Amino acid sequence: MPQLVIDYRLDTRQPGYAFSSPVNGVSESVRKVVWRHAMPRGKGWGEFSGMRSIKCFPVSNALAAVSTITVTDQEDEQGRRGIRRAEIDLIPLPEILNYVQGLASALPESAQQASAQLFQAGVWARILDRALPKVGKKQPQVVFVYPVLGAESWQIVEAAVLRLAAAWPLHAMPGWGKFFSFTTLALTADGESRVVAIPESKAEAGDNRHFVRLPAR
Amino acid sequence: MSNLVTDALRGFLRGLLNLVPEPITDGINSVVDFAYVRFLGLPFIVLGYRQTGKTTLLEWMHSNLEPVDDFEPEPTAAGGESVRPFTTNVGDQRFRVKPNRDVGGEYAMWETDWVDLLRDARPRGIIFMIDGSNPIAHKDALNFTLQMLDEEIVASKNLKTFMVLVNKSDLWGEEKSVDEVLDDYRNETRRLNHQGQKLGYEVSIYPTSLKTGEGVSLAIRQFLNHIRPSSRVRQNAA
Repeated sequence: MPQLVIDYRLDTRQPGYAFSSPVNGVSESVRKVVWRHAMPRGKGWGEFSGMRSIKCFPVSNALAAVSTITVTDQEDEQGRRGIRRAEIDLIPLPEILNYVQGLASALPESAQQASAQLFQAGVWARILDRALPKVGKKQPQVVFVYPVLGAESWQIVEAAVLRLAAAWPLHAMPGWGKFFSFTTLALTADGESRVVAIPESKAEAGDNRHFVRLPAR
Repeated sequence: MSNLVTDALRGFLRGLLNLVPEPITDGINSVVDFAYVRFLGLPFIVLGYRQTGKTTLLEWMHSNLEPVDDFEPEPTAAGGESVRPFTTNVGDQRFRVKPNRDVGGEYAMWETDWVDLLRDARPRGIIFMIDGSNPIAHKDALNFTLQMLDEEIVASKNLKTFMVLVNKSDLWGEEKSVDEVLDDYRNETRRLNHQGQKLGYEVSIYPTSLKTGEGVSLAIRQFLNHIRPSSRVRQNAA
């Protein structure tokens, strides 16, 4: 499957976000789902220039998308910042867990080790509590909160989210199944994946019940 | 089939309502109005070409129409941003509003995010933003919106008002009047008025500046009073 790219372009007749890669061979329905979900949600991306987010979501019964988003230092004609670029790979659903494991093992060893230490008994208990379906509530969502100290330190969170996405416990929970969406960095949990990590500065004060705070390393 | 049943039920209820004395129907309308304005939220959407101030307008409403000097908007990305219902104070009136999502305005967003937003929100009102520059792009966006309303019959069924905000009057206001700006949009405003008559929504146009605040309160108060369910409350408020 071809890689799709959503870019912010100013050098065309129709400036702004658009697919900048050829979209031949990708059906319109797949394209629309990718367009709608490829970017992580939230406002204030200008503060996070240089950071990366990985977002994984289903696009059809047979395909999943893995979107790798970079927060660029680009500005538009009015000096607006927070512009992002997304590179999207379409992966057959049966192969997605292997793909996610591959992404996790491609991270630096130090980030993988640090992320493994985050999963203490207390953190697992919080994750499983958040993942349990609640009567009368919408689909359960696990929201990690961690302080942003830079792109490198966020790799620990990235490794933690990827690890959780590939590990068996959540897949064994009712309502989670073999595959669920996840985002390694968003600025809000609203409208986001089933598992999402947000910076501590963006977590609403006093809303602790909904978050799984990861101990800073 | 289900549409036929729904229409029949609606007709039946309407018939029943005609039998109910007017003071009681007024009472029911007031309760429905209260429920929307205080709890459920008035569904509306904000559309317009890129860089016209859609995100800033929503931020204004979030801040009870107080200036948002430190707000730094960024281009809204593909898919838009979900906006939770919130309460806004417009003068002495409080409104619970439900804008559903903040969407970007570039061409690539129209077929995808705008259509999805209209379908999801089934709005009672549309705020369409233009400014004094680049009329070709604004006209394209407005024509697309009107075409979308023609095609999305179910989604536009609840539409009560379509308000065009000619924003950034601080930039064009010294050189020309709002009528002069709208000269470029003669065909579009004619089409808009014609569609308004056909689909049963009201059309209004206001000059505003989200930078200086000029015209914003008046326009938003009028808009929210037009989309609330009770016409009697609406008329009194207007």
